[in-house]
Amino acid sequence: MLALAMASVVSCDKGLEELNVNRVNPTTLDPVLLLNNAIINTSFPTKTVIYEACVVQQMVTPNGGVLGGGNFNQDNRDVTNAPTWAGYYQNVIKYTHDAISKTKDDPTRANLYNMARIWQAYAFMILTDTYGAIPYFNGGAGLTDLILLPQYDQQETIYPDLIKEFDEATAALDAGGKIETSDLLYAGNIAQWKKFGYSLLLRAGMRLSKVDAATAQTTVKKAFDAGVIMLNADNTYMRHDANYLNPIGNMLNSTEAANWYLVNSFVDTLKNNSDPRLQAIAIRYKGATSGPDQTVDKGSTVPADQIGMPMGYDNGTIVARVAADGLASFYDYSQVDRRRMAGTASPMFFVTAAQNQLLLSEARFRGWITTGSAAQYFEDGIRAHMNQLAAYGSSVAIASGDIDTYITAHPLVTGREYEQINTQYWIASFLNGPETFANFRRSGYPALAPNPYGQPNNPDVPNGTFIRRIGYPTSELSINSENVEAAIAVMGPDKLSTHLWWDK
Amino acid sequence: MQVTDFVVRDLYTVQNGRAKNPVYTLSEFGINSVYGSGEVNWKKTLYLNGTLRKDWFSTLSEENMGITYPSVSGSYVFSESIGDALPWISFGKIRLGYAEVGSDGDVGPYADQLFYAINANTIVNPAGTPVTVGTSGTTLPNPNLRPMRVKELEAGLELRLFNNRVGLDVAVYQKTTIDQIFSVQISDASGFLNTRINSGESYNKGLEGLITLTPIQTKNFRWDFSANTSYNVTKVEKIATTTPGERATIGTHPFNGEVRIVVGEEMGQIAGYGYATDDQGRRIFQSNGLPLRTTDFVLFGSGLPKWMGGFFNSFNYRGINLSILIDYKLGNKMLSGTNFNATRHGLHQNTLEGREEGFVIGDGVNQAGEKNTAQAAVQTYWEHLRSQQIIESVIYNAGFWKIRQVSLGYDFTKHLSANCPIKGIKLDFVASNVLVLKKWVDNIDPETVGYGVDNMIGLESPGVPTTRSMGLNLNIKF
Repeated sequence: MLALAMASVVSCDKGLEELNVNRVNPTTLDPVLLLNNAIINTSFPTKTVIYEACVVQQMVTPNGGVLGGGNFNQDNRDVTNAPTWAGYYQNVIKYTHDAISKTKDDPTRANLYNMARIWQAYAFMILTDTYGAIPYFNGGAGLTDLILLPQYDQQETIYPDLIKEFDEATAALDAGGKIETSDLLYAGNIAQWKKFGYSLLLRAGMRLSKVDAATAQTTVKKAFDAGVIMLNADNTYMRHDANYLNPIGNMLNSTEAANWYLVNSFVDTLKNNSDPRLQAIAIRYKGATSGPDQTVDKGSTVPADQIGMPMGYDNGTIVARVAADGLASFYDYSQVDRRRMAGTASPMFFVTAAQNQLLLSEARFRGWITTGSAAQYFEDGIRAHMNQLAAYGSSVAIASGDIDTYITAHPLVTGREYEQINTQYWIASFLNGPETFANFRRSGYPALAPNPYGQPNNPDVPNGTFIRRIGYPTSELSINSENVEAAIAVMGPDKLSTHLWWDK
Repeated sequence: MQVTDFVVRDLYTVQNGRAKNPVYTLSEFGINSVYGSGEVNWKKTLYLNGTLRKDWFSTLSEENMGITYPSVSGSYVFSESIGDALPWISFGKIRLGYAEVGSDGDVGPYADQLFYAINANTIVNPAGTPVTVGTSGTTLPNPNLRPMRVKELEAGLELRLFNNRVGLDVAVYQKTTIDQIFSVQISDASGFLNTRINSGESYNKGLEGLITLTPIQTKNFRWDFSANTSYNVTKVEKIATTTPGERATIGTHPFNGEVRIVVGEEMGQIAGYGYATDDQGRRIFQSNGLPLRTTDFVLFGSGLPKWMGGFFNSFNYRGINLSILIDYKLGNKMLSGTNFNATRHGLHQNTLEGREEGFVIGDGVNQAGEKNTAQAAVQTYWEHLRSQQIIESVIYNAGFWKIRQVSLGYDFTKHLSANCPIKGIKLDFVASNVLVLKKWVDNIDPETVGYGVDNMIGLESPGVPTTRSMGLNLNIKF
């Protein structure tokens, strides 16, 4: 008995290719929409409260676990709150890189190309200021160059290129070219984009004051001469709304509402100087014994009522300190007011007139620029920040009479310039964790006492010192280990205590 | 279907619209195949089968979409030849087969391209214009994927003895999987989280056995017994190269730990940070009394079980039926997220250490190699495992022995009169997931699934506990 059947094999792939064409989703998009997404996702992630805001002693929590970080001088690579790394590479650099590659060879979109370059360099600057060596030249090149495990570049080689990018891309913006009216940031306004780009050039230049004063000087002068943001009307900020929430405001109005408190160093600085900003920023739920007990009727925004939480306590050790401070519980310390300044739709400021005026005050004091006076820039910086608070709503706005009173009482004093200017920068950059952290490391001001938590034996942060950088995410150590190890070999250990290149 | 606000000019596709009502998706794929088979047999004793097949997968690129694969198998029913010489052999067969199988490994449609989408909500820019926001996928497309191919050689023996009262079915096999398609993690500094790759080669060997017995069979009583077991180990031979230790991450636990494929190791390695130890195996503690973690991820073993099987007993006495199934899985590891959370929140029994005193002095040495004497606050000590992602204490042997099912029933059919419209009635009490006889993981059922996907095998996360079910089955036949 025999049965045999064989079919001949013929090509049979007809129609399959057409079947694999997606008729629903587009395979390309106007790159300005990608830049918009990058801008939205640049709003500082909640991890910048866990670390940066704690290190500069503006906000702190006595609770650990996912919130353990700057409060405990502790290395925390938990990913519940995504680190800046993940947020920026996945949701900012990815889109700027794509927008750049889609516009690079299209002269009709030259303005968009340069806008995306500026924004990308801004995001990279925050990343290198946070971590040190990062994938820069090959970062974000997954789609364009199929680089899946990018090499790292040292900060020393990144900064010159950032300066070049800010300089070149800003100069290349052309009011005669196509105006990108769908731009989320400035509706394509070239004059404002130019001021923004040169403001970043100013910021990058000042960042080098410790490591390379000569380059810092020429860069600062170039930026200043070209024109930076000097008025609040030109401020760079993310206009959050009910759909696109402010990440920090969202955190402070949901899961961690009762966990974050203003630090006494910050509250006392404002209080002791009768700073009208304390009333704008702070609230204390007097007598609150729990999170739910932080009710509106218990809330006081009166400056004299404000008491900041001290650094160095956890939820066990804080109990004795609460008693010593005469409070009902740690829920009774002052907070940034989540119903006013830290709302879910509050704006997130990236670059402001106040910051620039204060940087220029220092630059003028150093003699790096020659017009204006350091005292005037100082005064204008304070005034700009106090006026800027109106953007958070009328309940946060400060009356002009109060501004004048404060400024008259706090002129720039000879011999205290660096301290005064950079202490004001610290206040003016509140809620901008990366920038306060960077400027604190650069300038050494305000003069804070190191966080005593876990001392004298804290293995992550030597006794008497501050956190100087954030550790790489575990995903990089696991997946991109060869490249990250090569970077660490040059930069120094992947520890919180390692000083970055410009912070030597 | 209504779509408004098309974003890319002249592109009239659904997702190119900002507002869609209702939500619309379309996903199509196809496989074209030609298949031929032939069979030869000689006197119902020797059989030879052959097949040849070619598939084309729409999900792969045109150059790579086709794959041809053959199979051939032969068997010899030796009981036919033996004839009446050994009458207690009811049936006996040996078989030997070689087969190849091609597959696109469940690559989704359109996976070779990056797609964009437009957020449903606009946002107002400073000019007062509502502007749109675009996004794109997190998987970097790999247009060069090839179909995967499995080559398998299997030998088997099938025996039925003593008038079918004893049955035996044994098979041994070895399998080589080439170009298996994995979704692997890449550095997110590339802008993307993962991509799909053809991973070189893995080698798989094992055996399967089934024995069936009817030890007692009388007019009123019958006892049936069966046992099956299988042993399977898969080893990764090659990813891009055959260098031992070369690896790729295929799944990540949301808190800590991941699943890797590693050249030279069993498939599905659970990896994460452990406790750093000195050369004598003593744990190292930092100056603040908190444990130091290992410098690099440690491989804790495979999440895939090596042994699986069960024992089934069925007793029938005058229409009363009792059956019990005991089963087991052995030889795999798991990372328990439930126990991790319990540990870091101080709810795990382990965390009683130091509870009275308020501090822990970990058993081990300090970084200078002397006995550790540093006290760590008890809460800090356990929370430290989370912030440092030290998972060693929640890696468990995931094996178990279980009474899977018990059923007790009675068949009422014989009490029905012949002219009754109901032809049969049977009532059974059935209990499933009855009892865990043996397990090694704390607090949870080792079968608590964290993620029902292969690339997360062995990762457990707090989820719904497994349940025991009990019920009555009433079967009526008309």
